[in-house]
Amino acid sequence: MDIVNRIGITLVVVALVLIGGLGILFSINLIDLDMITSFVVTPNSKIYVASFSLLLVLISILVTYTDYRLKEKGQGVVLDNPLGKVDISKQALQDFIKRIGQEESNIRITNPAIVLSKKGVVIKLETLVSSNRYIPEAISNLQTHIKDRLEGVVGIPNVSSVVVKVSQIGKAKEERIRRVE
Amino acid sequence: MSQDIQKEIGIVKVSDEVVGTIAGLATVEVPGVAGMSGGIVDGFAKLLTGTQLTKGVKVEVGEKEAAIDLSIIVDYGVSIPEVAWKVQENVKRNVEQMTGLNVVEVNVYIQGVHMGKKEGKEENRRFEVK
Repeated sequence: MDIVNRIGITLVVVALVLIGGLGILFSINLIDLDMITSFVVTPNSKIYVASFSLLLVLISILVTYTDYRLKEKGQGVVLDNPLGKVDISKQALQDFIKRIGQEESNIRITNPAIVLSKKGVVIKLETLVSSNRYIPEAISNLQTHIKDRLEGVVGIPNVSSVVVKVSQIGKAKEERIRRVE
Repeated sequence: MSQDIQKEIGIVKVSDEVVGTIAGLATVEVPGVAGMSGGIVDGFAKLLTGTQLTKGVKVEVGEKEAAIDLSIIVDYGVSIPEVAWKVQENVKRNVEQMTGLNVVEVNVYIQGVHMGKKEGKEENRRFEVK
């Protein structure tokens, strides 16, 4: 974010310096309005001015968007202790949940999302389940596993719910190989 | 920015970068820490300078006190609060011992969980979507 912000700030400063400089030159009669208008009238100079203005607009949008995305991504779970705070980012929690999914046989977690509410932390995820599993049992085990690990290993005291959506049914490759044999 | 320590025969200056390096080294020596997590600026700095001694470390140094922010990646399977606590203790102890500054705060930002390359490949092998 910093680098995008710095580029954005640099461009805005350049634009302001140009406008300010023109203003100063205009006020001390080193430049007159005709010179400016005659410059902008030529087709090439219009393209330059339009390109520069467009670049400024795009950079502004990019800075705003990046800032928003990073703020949203960074808002994780905060644990306090006497030496300072421990902030576990949403990205870290997502990585962790995906890794838990790897421990469950025949389930793959695809889109974990972490929602921080007043009641506690809500985990929402989509899964791909193997066709040879009884889905309610597999999902129930997964929910318990995720809740236990988040509370025990990550240290989140209040995992209020784990919402699981089964979005796809897959076939474990080992099973397919066995059947072919 | 640097920290000036007034002595009888002169001034000892401890730069922010030195404090950051001490903090960084104290962090990665804690078991369970997979590495430091730098942002875009850290990556850009490495590209330009070829060095990255204070990656993932932000230091604010006052006259006699310091506050340190650390962005880290932890290994999967370790207790995150326990690792973070050990990092905070180790960083505080090392910085205080080596610089004489009073470390008032060590904030730890867990930016990711290191899963290991092997597990990632295993995951892809396990499934075939119908």
